Amino acid sequence: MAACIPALGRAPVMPARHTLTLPGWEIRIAAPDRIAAVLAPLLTPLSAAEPLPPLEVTVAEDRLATGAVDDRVLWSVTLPETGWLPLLLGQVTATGAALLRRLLFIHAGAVTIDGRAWIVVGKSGAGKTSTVAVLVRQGAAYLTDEITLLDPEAATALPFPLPMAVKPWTAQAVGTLPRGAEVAREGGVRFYLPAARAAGAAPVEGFVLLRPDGGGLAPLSRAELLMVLGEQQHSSLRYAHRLEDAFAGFSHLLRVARCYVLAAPSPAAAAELIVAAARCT
Amino acid sequence: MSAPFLAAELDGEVVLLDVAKARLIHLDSAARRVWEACEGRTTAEMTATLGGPEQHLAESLRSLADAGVLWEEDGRWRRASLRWVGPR
Repeated sequence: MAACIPALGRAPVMPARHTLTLPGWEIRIAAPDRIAAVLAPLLTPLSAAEPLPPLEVTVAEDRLATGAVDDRVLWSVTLPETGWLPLLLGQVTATGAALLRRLLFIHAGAVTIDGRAWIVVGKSGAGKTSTVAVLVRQGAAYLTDEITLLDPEAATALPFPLPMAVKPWTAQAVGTLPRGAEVAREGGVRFYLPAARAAGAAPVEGFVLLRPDGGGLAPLSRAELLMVLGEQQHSSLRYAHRLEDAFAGFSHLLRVARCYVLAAPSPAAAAELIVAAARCT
Repeated sequence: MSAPFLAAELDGEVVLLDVAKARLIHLDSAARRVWEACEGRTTAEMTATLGGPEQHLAESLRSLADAGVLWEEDGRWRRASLRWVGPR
């Protein structure tokens, strides 16, 4: 399960064409304009809740993309003609998450309801994005779509407002998207940033695991939810240097949270059940 | 040297982290009873202590042994050392 961030060699020297100075994180992009001009606006809403070292993202004309920190190449991937944007964006944001030293991250969507964070967990295709979209449309504030940042000491979830990746089937399931703006579109995926976003950290109130089987909303044991987090392909538990503190941190967070498993016939039904749980103290 | 396992108690259940293998092991309340009762006992002594069918106990012990959290030595069960995180 654990992996270190491998170094692949020295970073190629290319002039940075775009430098994004985000709160806590500088991202320098050296890429053809057709790529940099699309990637940069997607990253602009982000802020790193703990300071991260600058990331150099380079995309050569042959579509070979690399990510480097302190002149060490951390990843290298050839971008496809179609679907390159989700891949590149995922590499950049996953790098940011992997560089965290104190905060934890999991693969999950998250919103705040009445100022408290609800974290939506599930496998790819389980309906996380569509559930988050409907929750925001119904009045929740957007925290994140893919990567949820967690402060284990404060037991809070922090904003990581990457635009939602709305795939065609997601759009069909959601219907009307929440108020917001489309930031980019590539390979059939719309990158959509909701207008209603959480301003800061919110106390973690609940975790909801989306599952296709069963019916309705039911309590889930905290131990079972921790096992689910341990199975995720993208979480702090995947990094050897974070393993022990991530285990302790997630355990601590779960002790103060409510945990549910949810199977609903539609994102609207799922959102309704989550809101009902949030308002039932 | 750090313990080979970390343990967290959550609502009466236990989740163990196998640090070397970077994997989690879930002990529900029944498995936890077996795991906690086994130290220094034989299978027969545990059957007397916990009650229930000996076959079920033997299966539970074997499952825990396969996970590496305990082992049998001279006919007696031993638990792997661990460090608890958080309250118990």
